[in-house]
Amino acid sequence: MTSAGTMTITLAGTARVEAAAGLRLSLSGLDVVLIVIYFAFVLGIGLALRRVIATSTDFFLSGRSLPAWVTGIAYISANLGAIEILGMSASGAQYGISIVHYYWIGAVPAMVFLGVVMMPFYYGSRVRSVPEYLLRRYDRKTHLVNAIIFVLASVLIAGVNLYALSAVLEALLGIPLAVAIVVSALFVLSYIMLGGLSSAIYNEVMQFFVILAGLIPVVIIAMKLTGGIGGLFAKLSTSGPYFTSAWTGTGLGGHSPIGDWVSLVFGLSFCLSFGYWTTNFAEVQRAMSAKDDNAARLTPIIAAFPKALIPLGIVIPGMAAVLLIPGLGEGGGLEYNYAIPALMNKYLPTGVLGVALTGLLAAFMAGMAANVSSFNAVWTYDIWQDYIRPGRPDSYYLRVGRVTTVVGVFIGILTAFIAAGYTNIANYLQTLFSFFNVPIFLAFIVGMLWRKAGRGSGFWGMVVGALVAFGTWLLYQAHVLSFRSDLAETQWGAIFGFVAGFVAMLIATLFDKPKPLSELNGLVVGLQQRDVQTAAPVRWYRSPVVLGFGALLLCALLYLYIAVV
Amino acid sequence: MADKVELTPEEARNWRLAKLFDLRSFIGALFVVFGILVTIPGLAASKAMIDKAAGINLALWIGLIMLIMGVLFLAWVLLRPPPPVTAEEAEASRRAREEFGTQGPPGH
Repeated sequence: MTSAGTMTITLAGTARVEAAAGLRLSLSGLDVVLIVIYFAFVLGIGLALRRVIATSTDFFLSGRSLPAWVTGIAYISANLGAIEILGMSASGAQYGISIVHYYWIGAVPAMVFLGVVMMPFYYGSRVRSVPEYLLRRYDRKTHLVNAIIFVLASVLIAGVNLYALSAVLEALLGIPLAVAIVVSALFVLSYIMLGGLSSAIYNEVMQFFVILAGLIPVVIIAMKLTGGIGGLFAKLSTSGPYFTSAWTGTGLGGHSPIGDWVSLVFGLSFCLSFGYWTTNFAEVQRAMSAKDDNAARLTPIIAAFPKALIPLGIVIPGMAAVLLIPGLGEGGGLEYNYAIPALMNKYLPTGVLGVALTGLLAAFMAGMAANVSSFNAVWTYDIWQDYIRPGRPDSYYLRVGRVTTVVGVFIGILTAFIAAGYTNIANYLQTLFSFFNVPIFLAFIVGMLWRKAGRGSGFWGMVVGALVAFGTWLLYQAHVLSFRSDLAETQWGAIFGFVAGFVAMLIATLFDKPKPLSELNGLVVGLQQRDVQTAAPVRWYRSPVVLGFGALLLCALLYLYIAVV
Repeated sequence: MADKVELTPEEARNWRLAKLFDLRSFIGALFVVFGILVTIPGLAASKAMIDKAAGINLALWIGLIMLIMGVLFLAWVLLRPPPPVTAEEAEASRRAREEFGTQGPPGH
């Protein structure tokens, strides 16, 4: 479900989650009890929250009442699904430390940018979804294209998450794939039906702490057995020049498969990660549910701190697994995707293993729930209310939201069965993202920063950008264009799409009168609307700018640390 | 904000439950339970358990950390209890209930 995670699974080659012969977890009674208790809590939260869901805003945006620490953790957790945890540790095991680029330049700067620059436009204009912003900034066709793409992408990705979850259940616990798909889907369905977005967010926050309690012991053991990060790098120095150094081989003529610095900075960071983190409604919805303007701005910035530290819990154990799990990634051995579950199984004692597995299962379900809860908001508000049945009372849309949740989950189940037939889920997901995410980000950034961008220009930017990115990919597949790796292709395709889409927006603006300023209130730079109480100066520890700078500084220090260790 | 809100007994009960089930109480309760259940085998850890975890009594350490975390979350709820129902909240839910009739939203 993440731009980063999906691409790295591609990078990790064949991401077949199904083949995990030889890894069946040995759970004790206590481990099972812990899992059952956790899921009882999840349903309990849904039941408790059901009492306070009275309006559609409660259901879709948690009544805009949540504090920043809750929305911030939910923001990071919505991304911490199956594909992220298994895929990024797999990439760590296969490609080494350079995978940290996906966090320190491929995520954190985008999150800081969202909080500092973009969030006032989203929150202050009181839009209820990301596509709704495009409706007010551009026109109906821009809106409709974005809403439809989002709705399609999110049910498909919910399905892929569901498939990944079920494949892991099958591999680790021996539950048949079809049963696992249906049971996990019904579980997610029941808690979102009951508590709406609040239920999803509450679970994301609980899950975050549980997954930490599962990952930290793995890191402790991996560090003890390999002699710390320095010892780990020294022991892995035989694995090639790029494995333990993040920047080696990233020059323009270099050979590091991660890409070159131009495509990393402009393609991965500016186009792909800004596109994902700042316009993906599954993420932005969490910030929109914050209680005030400042809490909304702090949401992605609070999330940036754990995001900067997560590679220590995912990429580093993945690398350590190369030493600790014999045969990992070799023919006949365990697949790279199972690096972390294999470490857990080998080293965690009874009880701790139960907590760790609970964290994994919860993370996988949260990933799917995030897709479903953003899908139903966009479907209900942006498609049903705007184009199909406008002007009904709020209670009607609340009901539509609940029905949509059911339908969305069932489409997700179908998609999961389709994904089970694919050998490479990654391509399937990555293709979606590289084609649509970047041009959508283009329409946002130009729309926010350039008042004169014409009414129809957003539509043309999105269409041309997506087509050019798609064309680049086709030419690469046909061996007309060549890049150093699939990953580098994605980054360059994003850059080409962005530039072409931008030119299309400029041309479209020439033929189009700009929108009058009266219609752009709250939507463009210089016309932001801020809540009165939050326009007051805040203390430094609540200042998005200060904290955002702190997050960037943390990334710089982490780069420095892995370079000298 | 500080307006006195008049609630029917049923509304009052719903809101009390909703506010009691603050996210922090859920996390606190979960981690206290997890902490206790994981610490117990840690206290009686066999040599095999410790050897498996590279010589560290992980169950004891992780169990105690979770227990402390749970207690901290519960203490946080007690020290900073959730704010009382505001007039707007009560009004919004009442309006919605009237729209749905006496039955409440579907599923109730």
